[in-house]
Amino acid sequence: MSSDSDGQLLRQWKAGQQPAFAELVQRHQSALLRHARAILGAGSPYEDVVQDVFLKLAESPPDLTAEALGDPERERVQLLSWLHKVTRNACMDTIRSDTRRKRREHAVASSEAADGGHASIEERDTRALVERELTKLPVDQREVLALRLMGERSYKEIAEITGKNVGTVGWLISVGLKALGEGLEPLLEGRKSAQRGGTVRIETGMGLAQGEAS
Amino acid sequence: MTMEQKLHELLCAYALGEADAAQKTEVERALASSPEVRAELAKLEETIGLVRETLGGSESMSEEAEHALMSAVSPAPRANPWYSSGWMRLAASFLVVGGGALWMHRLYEANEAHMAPGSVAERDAGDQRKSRVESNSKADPETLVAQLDQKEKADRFDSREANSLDQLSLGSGVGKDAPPSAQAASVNFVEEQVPAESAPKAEEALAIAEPPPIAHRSLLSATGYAGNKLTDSATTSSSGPVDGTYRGSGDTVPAGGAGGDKTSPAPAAPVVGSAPAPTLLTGRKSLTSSGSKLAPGNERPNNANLGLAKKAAESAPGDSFAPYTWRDTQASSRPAADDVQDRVALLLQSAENAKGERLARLEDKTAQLKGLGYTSGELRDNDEATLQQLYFKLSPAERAQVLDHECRRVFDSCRRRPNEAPRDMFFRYWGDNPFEITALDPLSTFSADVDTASYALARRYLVEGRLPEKAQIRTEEFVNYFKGDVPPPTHGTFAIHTDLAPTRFAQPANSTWTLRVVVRGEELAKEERKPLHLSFVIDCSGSMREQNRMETVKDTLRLLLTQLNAADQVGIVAFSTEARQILPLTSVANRGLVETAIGQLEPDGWTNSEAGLRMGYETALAGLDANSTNRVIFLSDGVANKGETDPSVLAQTLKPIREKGVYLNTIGVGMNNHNDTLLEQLADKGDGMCSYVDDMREAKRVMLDNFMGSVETIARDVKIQVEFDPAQVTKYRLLGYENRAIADADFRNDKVDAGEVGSGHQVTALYEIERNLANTSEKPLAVVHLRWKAPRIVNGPANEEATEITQPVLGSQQTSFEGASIGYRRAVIVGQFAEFLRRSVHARGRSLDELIAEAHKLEAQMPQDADFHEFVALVERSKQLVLDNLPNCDELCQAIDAYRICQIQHAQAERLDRERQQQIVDDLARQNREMEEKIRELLRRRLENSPK
Repeated sequence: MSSDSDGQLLRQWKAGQQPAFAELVQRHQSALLRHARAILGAGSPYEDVVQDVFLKLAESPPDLTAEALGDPERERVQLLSWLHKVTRNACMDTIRSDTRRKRREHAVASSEAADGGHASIEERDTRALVERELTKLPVDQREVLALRLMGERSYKEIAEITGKNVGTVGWLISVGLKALGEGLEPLLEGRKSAQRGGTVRIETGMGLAQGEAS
Repeated sequence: MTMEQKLHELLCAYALGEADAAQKTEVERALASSPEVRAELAKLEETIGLVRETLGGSESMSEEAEHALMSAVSPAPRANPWYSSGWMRLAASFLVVGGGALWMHRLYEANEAHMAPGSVAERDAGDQRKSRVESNSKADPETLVAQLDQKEKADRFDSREANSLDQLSLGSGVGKDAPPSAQAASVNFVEEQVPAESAPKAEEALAIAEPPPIAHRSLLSATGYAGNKLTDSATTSSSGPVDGTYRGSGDTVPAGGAGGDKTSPAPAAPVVGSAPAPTLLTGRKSLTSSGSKLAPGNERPNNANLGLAKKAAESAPGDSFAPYTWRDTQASSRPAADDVQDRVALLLQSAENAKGERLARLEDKTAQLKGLGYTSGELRDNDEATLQQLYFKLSPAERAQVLDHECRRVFDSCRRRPNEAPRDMFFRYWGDNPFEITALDPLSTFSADVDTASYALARRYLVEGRLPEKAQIRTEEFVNYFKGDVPPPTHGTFAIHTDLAPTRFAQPANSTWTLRVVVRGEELAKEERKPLHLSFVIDCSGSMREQNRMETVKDTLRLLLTQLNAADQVGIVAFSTEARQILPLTSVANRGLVETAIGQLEPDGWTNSEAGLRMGYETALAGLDANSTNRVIFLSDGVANKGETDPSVLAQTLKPIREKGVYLNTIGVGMNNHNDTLLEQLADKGDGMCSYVDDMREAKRVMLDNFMGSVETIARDVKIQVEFDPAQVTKYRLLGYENRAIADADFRNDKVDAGEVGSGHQVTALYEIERNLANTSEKPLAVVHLRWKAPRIVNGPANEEATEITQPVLGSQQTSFEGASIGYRRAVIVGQFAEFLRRSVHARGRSLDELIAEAHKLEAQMPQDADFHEFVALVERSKQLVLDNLPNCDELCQAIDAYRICQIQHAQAERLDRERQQQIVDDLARQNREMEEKIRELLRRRLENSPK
């Protein structure tokens, strides 16, 4: 992996060096994929949105401000901010179609009905469950949570990306986490009791600690 | 905004590190005063932790999407590239919408799925490979693999344009093998055709009908490259890498990764440093000295903190290979909080014992700390520092008291538990098999194990730049993964081979040897096999959607089909939230039916392994045939989350069915949350083998190369016992087989279950032995006994008669390491690497560089062995990762290790005759006292934070 800063990579790409662009994609796709998925949902063509974002980056790469240049961390923040904004817009464009949204909601509702809700089910497919709880939140809460918890963007950066003010971001995160905490309550309880005594659950825990592969 | 809401926001900001100084103070004040607030923060942190843990890993686009992207931007940016034209934008937006719609439609279809043989092939473009495979289902396996390979290669090199062209030309009947030179023209084609005709129609269709009618759907799938690609890659991307996965220099490897190992952030610890007190464990000779007050069995310390000490001692059995640190008894991350409290309680207690103003202040302080202790991350991480801080505030007498507590905690964790065998003590301390002293226990007994999953899964981890868990490394499976090198028996079921050479890696080099014991099973020819009745139980839970797992499973099944003939029968059970039978046992002659059933599998819902297994067994029992091999093959990512999930309980339910003559094989797919233990245990209890498949290459290996071994059992309850001669071998250690150990006395107890061996399997066991070279006896230095029973006869009388064969190991057959057979050297090298991955206590001080050098030498001698080449590349790539994670054993850790060894020797001495015992025990008592003093001193230094 290249150790060049984002600013250097952008400059190289503008000079026509493709590896620089590939490196930028490698670096940032994870955050953007999560962002897009948080808005559009796991079953959506969110990957294509991210693809389009990178096409946009290729086509008209942004100019970083003079004060950011030379400081890798600030370059990164600025570029990410731009990328997140573009991702957000692209997602919003996709979501604007009313038909689509209705269907998406329908799909979520029906998949829940098919599972018989989770009160009746032993809840250990942790990932699916967390994802589902996240899906239940309104889009704006989901988005800020994804940016903060998985994207590790600060409140301030999130405010900039979403065009909201910092107070609103804090409020959305609080409300979202509260709802999430309630939704995941049985799961958290289960995990706690598993840590006290279960053997099987420890296996699950081991797996989870591995994080995600790709 | 209510107060409550305000407070919750503050807590969120606090937990996420967003609070400023004033807010922090405010929160901390609230925390100190209110248990409710503490509970709320704790819950918040748990929620945040859970979300991060489950969804926080890094993600990347599917390979196709990335390739498409890269080819779209290549060469360097154009002023006005093709994709920015108005038409293309329209086309793109249509494709996005259409793709989504198509995906929805597939969802509906999946829900209403019923068997309609003809409809499968044209379901969508993502199933193209399937239809191609179907049309070629009679083709031989090599061709099939080649086809899949080709398809996958094509996918990689396809640019966005080429793919569009491919799909378009299929839809419009143009030959799809257009040469690359046609690409330029194709772009025009795309620009003109797509938007002008299909886009408006499709949008119309979307507006009117839901789901779109068939005619429009096929149009969509013909033109909807983006749509199909999108949904496929977002859900079950249709092509996984076949070749190059493991060599994958181009693969992105998350460096370090979120390795689940708790010791992973350990500082780089080069493999140097003296092996801890090697002289203490040199067998009987060093045991000859005197006197003790430590009578084993009644040595439980009589102190008020017994409960606490016991708890600490039990917190991390078997996994305490890490050096002693303040944290080493808080093995998992969660109990950390409790431990802080324990420690503070301990301090408080010592404070209580001697009263005074100063202590009252201290009490105050600790109460405050206690209030924050389990909520503030700072304290949780730095409880050592906190303890040190508090320690300084104590009077010398109190310090001594705290030190006493700490010492007792350490000593108790090292002491023998009532009736604990010496080898169990060793295992509890370090999680590895110990060196056994031959004079005390000349017999080593274990069950055969032919699984290979551990190696395949570990390789997957390492390729992705992560270190597998210690518990996941089963040395024997590493060694057995590689192709057999000794000839199968000329007559009879088994042949035993042994090799003996000085080891390359252990100390002391001149007297430590490695003995390889190989049990090789007879090889049945394919023509000789009985007809197969295979009942597949396939995990179709939601998690199978990830990382191409479902496709891998389907491809694996298709590969297997190529090995079957009309006399064989196949049944399929799919399970997710519930189980359903998709295909009862059906002759493979009806290939269309079987293929269609495979095509039906769609991931959705929970993982109810229990229901799946039950129905799988029902399917198998319904078609139970005495003249066939009846086998259930369970394919899953192993994360059971509904129904019974405990492997031992699940296994219990298998027992009665197993006795009817139905075997169970398990095949693992996927990773991250892959539950290796469940699958390994199931296969073990189900009398079958456990494999792991992560791509087509591995599928081919398991299904084609090892086909006969997987389906044709030649012997069951195969047990191996090696008897060493104490005069020639002072001590020995078995590498691996930790969970296959059998009590020596049970070797000839035919009621005790052991492993099954399939046709042509090679079971290898490695022993490190220390020889007494002064003894030049002609007698064998060890004798290998092998005992097994014939396979069960379905519906026949239980044949419990066992056969036993024996093979001596002669000292005269020894060679040098270089002179040993390549199979031997390969086994030793692979086994040694597994030892490193296990962070085995025995591997301390051994050199990974030396191992790599030996591997290279060997590699040059066996250019044909692709598996070994891959292994060598893997070791080289993972070298830094492994080194970074070796436990760093400091002086205190070494002292504690020495103390532990002393305790084990003490336990061993108990088994000697009375007179010698007394002498040894006296001597150990003296050593014990010295060591306790040393540990105490080191602990004191640690507490006062004054490293020498």
